[in-house]
Amino acid sequence: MSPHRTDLVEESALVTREAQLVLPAVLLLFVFQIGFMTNPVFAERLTAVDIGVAFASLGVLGVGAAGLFTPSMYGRSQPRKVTRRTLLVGRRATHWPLLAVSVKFASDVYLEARVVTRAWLPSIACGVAVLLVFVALQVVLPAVARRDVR
Amino acid sequence: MANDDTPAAQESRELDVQEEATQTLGETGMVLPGVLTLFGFQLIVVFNPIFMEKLYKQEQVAHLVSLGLLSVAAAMVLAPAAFRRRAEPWMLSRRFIGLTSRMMTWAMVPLMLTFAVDFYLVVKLVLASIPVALGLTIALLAVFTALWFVLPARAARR
Repeated sequence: MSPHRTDLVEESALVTREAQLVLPAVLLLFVFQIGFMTNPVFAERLTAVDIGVAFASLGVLGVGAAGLFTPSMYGRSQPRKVTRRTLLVGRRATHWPLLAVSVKFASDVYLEARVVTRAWLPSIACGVAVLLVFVALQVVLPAVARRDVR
Repeated sequence: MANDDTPAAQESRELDVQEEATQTLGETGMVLPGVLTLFGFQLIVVFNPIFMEKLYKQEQVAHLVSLGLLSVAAAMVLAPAAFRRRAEPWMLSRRFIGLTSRMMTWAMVPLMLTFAVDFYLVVKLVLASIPVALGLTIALLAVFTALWFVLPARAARR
């Protein structure tokens, strides 16, 4: 069966749907991050560098959430129509949150590894391994598939 | 009374690419919040005093491994969104649907193992017995395998 070619309206709806998929995820992660960072044990068990990593990942996640809300705000500035520009803004704005989620997962695994192992190298290795899985699935796989299409 | 021609009387209907893609993306949207909620709670547990005081080092490492597995599951569930945007914009293809379906299926394996590890740790904390915790965890794994893999495989064979 040949692929279905999407028009501007369908493509825009799909981008919105993808944003809807990622947004609750980003917000949930944000809330949980605040939850464990306000726990007194958090400061007791982690070093200043680790706390810095947790704050940085919270910031990245915040920027990701802002990106996900952008298409909705941008679309509101152009009511009753879908433009290619709206779509491009939506695509770009919803692309970065996926990377933010990747960074967040990697940093959280790193932090738990720091608490459990109390060693730097294994913890960094755990975080990097998780980041590599995300990069492989979100960057490498689509890039390889796009080359196949060409 | 339903007539044979009405949609209510249909036993099954083939979906076109667009319908199938929409359905598959909907399923992804169902799984993702679950995976991430679990991830959030997993992380909170680590900063609970009981985690360090009552669990053996090996159990803490098992928890860390389960967090890693959950990250892999999340990466797999999020992969289709990145795939479509980067590899196949302006289209919905069977390849995209196939990839989404495979990612969803395989993401269930690390998710199932995470459930198992968490369940083991809770049972072990409550009952303080490793054999009982292991036995119940294996039973739970069997239930997950039956419902998530055996049942769909049997339905697909029919």
